[in-house]
Amino acid sequence: MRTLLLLLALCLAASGAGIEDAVTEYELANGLHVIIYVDSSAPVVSTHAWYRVGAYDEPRGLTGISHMTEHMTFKHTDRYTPGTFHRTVDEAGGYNNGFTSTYYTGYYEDLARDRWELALELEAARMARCVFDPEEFATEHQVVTEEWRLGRNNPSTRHWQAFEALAYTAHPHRQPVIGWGDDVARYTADKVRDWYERYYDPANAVLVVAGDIRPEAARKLIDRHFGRLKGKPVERTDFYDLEPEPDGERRAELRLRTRNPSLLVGYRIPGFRDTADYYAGEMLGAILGGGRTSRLYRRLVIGDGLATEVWASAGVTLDPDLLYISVRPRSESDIPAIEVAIQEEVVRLAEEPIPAIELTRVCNQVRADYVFAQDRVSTMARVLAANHLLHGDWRAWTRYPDRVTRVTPEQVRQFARNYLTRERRTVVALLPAKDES
Amino acid sequence: MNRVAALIVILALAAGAVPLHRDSLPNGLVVLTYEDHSVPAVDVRLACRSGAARDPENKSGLAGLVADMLWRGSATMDDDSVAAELEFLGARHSSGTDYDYSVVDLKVLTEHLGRGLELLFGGVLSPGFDPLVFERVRASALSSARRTHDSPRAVSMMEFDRLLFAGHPYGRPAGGDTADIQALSLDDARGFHRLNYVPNNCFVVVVGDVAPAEAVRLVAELTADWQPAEIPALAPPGPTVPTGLRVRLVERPDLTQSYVTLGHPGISMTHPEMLATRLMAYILGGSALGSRFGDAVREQGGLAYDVRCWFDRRSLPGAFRATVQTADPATAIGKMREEIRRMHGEGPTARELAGAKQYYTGSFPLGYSSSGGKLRLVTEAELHGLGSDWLDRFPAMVSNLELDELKQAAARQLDPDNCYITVIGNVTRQELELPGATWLD
Repeated sequence: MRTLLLLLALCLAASGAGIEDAVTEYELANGLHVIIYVDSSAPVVSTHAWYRVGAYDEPRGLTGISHMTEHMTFKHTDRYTPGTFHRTVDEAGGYNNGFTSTYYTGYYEDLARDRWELALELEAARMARCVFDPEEFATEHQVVTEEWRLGRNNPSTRHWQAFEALAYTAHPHRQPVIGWGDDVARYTADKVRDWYERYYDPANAVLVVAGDIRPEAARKLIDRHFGRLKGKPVERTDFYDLEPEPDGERRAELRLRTRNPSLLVGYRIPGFRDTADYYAGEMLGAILGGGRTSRLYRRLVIGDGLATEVWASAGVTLDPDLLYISVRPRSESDIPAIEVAIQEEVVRLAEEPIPAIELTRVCNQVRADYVFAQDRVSTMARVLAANHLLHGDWRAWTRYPDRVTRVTPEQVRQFARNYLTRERRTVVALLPAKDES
Repeated sequence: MNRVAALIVILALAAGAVPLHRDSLPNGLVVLTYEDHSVPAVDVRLACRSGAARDPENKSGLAGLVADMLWRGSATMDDDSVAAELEFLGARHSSGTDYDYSVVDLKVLTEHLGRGLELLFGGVLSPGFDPLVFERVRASALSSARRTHDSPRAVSMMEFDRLLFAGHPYGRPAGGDTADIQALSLDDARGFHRLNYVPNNCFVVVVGDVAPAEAVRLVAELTADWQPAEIPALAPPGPTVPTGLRVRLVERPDLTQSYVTLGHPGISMTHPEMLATRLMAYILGGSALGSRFGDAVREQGGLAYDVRCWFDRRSLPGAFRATVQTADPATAIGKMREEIRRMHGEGPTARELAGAKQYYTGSFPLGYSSSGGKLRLVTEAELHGLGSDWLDRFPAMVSNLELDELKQAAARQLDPDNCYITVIGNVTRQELELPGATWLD
């Protein structure tokens, strides 16, 4: 009991003071937002350049084009010809990569501190001086098509795509980041160049430099590489209210070549702008299916023996999203009983008092994860970039443990009552094709 | 306590060296501590030198199942109580098995290190082996093993292993074969644990916010009664050596790509030519971007998203394997074989070697700049007996490599003419264009 009280106290004490001291933040005249984070525990520097562009921005007919653009920015700039971009970083003993998501496209280089300026040179070239050669495009287009095919041959990827496409009718959350096949087939070099020119702009980006550096020296180098780039306002459409409220349960069954049934259940929840609700949703997801002591694990895996694994989590995005539950049923025939059990647990959450210890467990985990993330400068750079782009302020991350801690059992109950209803639910089962079972 | 402390030998390393301490306890348990106080957290790994290669015949998956059971209750606490306490502490725990070893991992805030270690060693030394828990863990392992079959890439690799390592434990899936897993019993698990989880067959890696002497003291206290025992040597037959191209094709009309694995026997991690071979393979196909494979197949050919090759780094000789996923397997295999042949015949260029050296030496500090990287590197060094100063010596070892050493490695360790090839995809024998190949059913 003493341990419990101690932990409760610790949970309330999570603070971002140390991080605040390590951060220098400013904006260049061209609009590039810069975050410098000092951590001298290892002689390395992680440089991240992220852009506010992703699947969210893609209209019908152009789904996946942010990802295609990401590929092309590694190909050719004023100074780097195909194949030399990665080789330059490799030969500097660094790691680099890019990734595309719903809300952003990001790039990074991890390098030893004595040569990290190379990252600035590469990222400034990527931001302003990419070349879109039609022949090089044609080859990379084939590469991206092969990447798309990898997903088509993966039952689990198709299950998620079907689930999201059913849960939303209008919002871009329904689109896979890699794009729909017909769209992927129809990209052209011109369309990709247009996309690049529209979104790859200092005013639409954040540059995070994290590691063993002195802020003043870093600032000089950043000014030298990025200061002269021209910036322009970048317009983006806000789809926050686009998705209509669901008017009933949606269900589908997917039969593919797999030996494993799988079940996805999602409830439509509000977005991050409804902040109080958002943190309650995070808490609820963890209580339901975050770990081996979560309610659904104890019920489905241990108690009823209907599933081998179960997870639940609230979506961490700006716009209205899903609280999803992912179940690996022991067999296809267990699925109806699993659905009944999930419904019973949801009702129990909505109607019965929630013991404080369940909330304490979650906030202890959030606090520990907050500390664990600080182990690695590239993780910190990612966290700072993502929070700046998603929430407009990297401090959203340092505030997070406290905000989760403030959630009350009653807020969690209210959240379950409001949003975890049958009308707001989407259920998609992945089942073995008839000749597989 | 004083007696134990007196027996601890702490090897102080030269100034500026990697702060790694290696200590041996009286029962043979080795404790490696990588001290790093930058974050108030500690990673602890119990590594056992017995992995899936120790699974008895027809009992594949056993090592993995046993490792899973070690976080699932002890003599004094049931499964649910262990999970509840770990999760309440905000700790992260996991377990895993590869062919050569098994691990039980813990990540915990410094303030909870003592309790975390009690829970870890409680399970490792005296697992609860509750029959109901065992049944659940087995069902989960079975589900994971089945799931592997959903990945054509994994199936291609498994088929390749079955050919190359016929009759050898590396030929079975490390996670177990579905039929084998179903038949595993609690007695099998108890037997495997009794035989393999002895202190002289294990080591502990501690990374993070704790002084070496304190880490050793804590581990020594919790393992004082753990008795050493003899471990029988593992002496399986070597891999089978293919003559010519021996190809297994699994036709899958539902797939839109073919999943190819191509290769032949490799060398063990401790083979004197391993480092030169690693750099040579990195130049040939270390990644889909910036290697010879990458240039030919992806960058110029547009044939695949990913193409690469590597030599297994295992205790016993493993495989050389090259993989690609593509809608045009004939062209991709042709280009990869051409590159293997060219490397085999000519070796890398001086320019390529210089680039590879820069990558390996330059990225080495990045590799251990995180606690996860430190765990991985220290585990690898200890497992293969590379010496506790290996982290310090590695950059110089790479820098000292000569071009001729890589050329010799390419000539000796690559064999473009004698390979196994497995292909899973919507393709026929004719379309693969492999004249003279022997087709295996």
